[in-house]
Amino acid sequence: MRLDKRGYVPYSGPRLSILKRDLTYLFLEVKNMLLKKRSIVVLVFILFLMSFPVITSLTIGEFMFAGMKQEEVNQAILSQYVEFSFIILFLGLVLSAITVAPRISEEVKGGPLPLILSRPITRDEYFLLKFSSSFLYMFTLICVPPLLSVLLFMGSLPPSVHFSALYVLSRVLAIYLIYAFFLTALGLFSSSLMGSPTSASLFTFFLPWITEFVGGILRATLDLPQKYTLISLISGTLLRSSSGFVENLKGSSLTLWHQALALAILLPVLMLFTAYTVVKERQEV
Amino acid sequence: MGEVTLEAERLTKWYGNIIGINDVNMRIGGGIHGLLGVNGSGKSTLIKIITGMMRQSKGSIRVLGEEPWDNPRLRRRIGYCPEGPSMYDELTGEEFLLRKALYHGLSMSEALAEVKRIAEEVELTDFVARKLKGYSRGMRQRLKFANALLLDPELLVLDEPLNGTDPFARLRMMEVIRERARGGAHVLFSSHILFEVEELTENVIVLHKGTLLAEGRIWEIRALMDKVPLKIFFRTDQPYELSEALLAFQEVEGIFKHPSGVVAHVRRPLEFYPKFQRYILEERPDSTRGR
Repeated sequence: MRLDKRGYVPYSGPRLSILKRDLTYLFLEVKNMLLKKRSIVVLVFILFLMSFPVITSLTIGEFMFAGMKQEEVNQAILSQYVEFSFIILFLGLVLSAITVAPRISEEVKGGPLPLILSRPITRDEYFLLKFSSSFLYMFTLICVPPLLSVLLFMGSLPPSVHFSALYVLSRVLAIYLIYAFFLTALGLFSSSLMGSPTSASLFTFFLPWITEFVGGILRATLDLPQKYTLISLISGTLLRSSSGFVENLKGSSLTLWHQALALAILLPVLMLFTAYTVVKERQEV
Repeated sequence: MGEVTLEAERLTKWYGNIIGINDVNMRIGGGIHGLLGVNGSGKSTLIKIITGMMRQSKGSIRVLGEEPWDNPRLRRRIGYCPEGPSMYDELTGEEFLLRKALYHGLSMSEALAEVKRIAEEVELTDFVARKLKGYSRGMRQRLKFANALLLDPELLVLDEPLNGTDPFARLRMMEVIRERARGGAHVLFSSHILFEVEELTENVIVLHKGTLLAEGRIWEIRALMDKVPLKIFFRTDQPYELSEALLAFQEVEGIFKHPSGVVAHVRRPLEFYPKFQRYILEERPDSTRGR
């Protein structure tokens, strides 16, 4: 390397483009997440998750061979997914609590945050990197296994079934995209508010259940109908951002479907905004 | 004063009801400056404000002519070595340093060459391939110091950089600081040990309970210290005997009883210390420990 007359490296601004620099750093952030010991837990989770789409694919075949109509098959498969998604939701929360929740909380209060922020990045970039790497990580973990298993299974099905499988797959991916977004937002929300990784993880896991519990009590106390109320939509969407979405999707009201979708996106956006504000203004580094 | 490195006016930082920095006015130029003060005096708070980690509650500050809060342009010009020891233990020393170099926009090959050069400078070459979880406190300190030196910043801000280092590493780090200052870099480092500061610079800023107590040359500070009586606590199980001995020193103005020893009010402490040391060594080699 060419040195200047003081023997130092001459440096005048970035040589990589900003995009290339940020992509390099995004890669390093994801690598950082994978280097953690908790990644073993995550791998077990992936293997577990992969079994569900296989079951669903089997269901596709069963319904098709039973000679059911196209619409009926789709509805039946979606019903199956409502049940599976409850288990996936539970595991998704565990995944978010393990991998996303510690991401900011482990860096504050004696953590490496001062070293990270001593690099030439703004707090906006820091938060964006945390979000994008966590979302990429969660989306990959949640979406790739179903995608792979359904695609692999499709090869063994007759061509007439392929349309059905693709229909289900596109629905599943859309739901999981929102679901990954929700889990990332929830993890970062907890992570920014809590001072320790453990409390952030616990908060991530229990917050949806607490919301559902409080929502249930309010519904019972105020004698509100199960559907068509804001509370039921919020609690339903928060706890069942995937399954509740599917449930509403196959329901009768288009308005309700739109409300559910809006809340499934709006709630994570609000959580992300809160997390961003906390990170931006944080003074205890 | 030539070039102004740092300029603060009525700088104040509150943590709720607790004051971190109180109405500090300072203006420092180039070269090495030592920030001296006991633990809790506000050194780290001031350093965090200077490096843009924290925003002041009141007043203004300019570092190298720029506002420091959340300013990545200024961070390119500052090398910061924070006090806390925590890092990502899964990374190797090299990976840790590489991240900063890459974020500065160097290509991978340039970044690797830069990391190699700095590791050699702080004599960490044999350790950079190791994971950080295997690093001792002193090694971590040297790695953070190396991190601050990367890409030759104009201003080095070092928060207690010599804490936990062994004597050899300490000497090497001091030498590197001097070399950097000779090369034109400005250095601001904090310490609670007067000796460390004296070794590196004669420009001292003294903080106490968040306020700027003194700023200037070290001999001026020493002269000021001599004018102010110092409270010295002596832990002893023979308080009466020690009190009697202490009163024989003309620098001792008064003695007060303490549950686990005695407290002496001492004028001209710098004259008192060597005299008392001689007394301990010659008269009472095994009975008293002063602090």
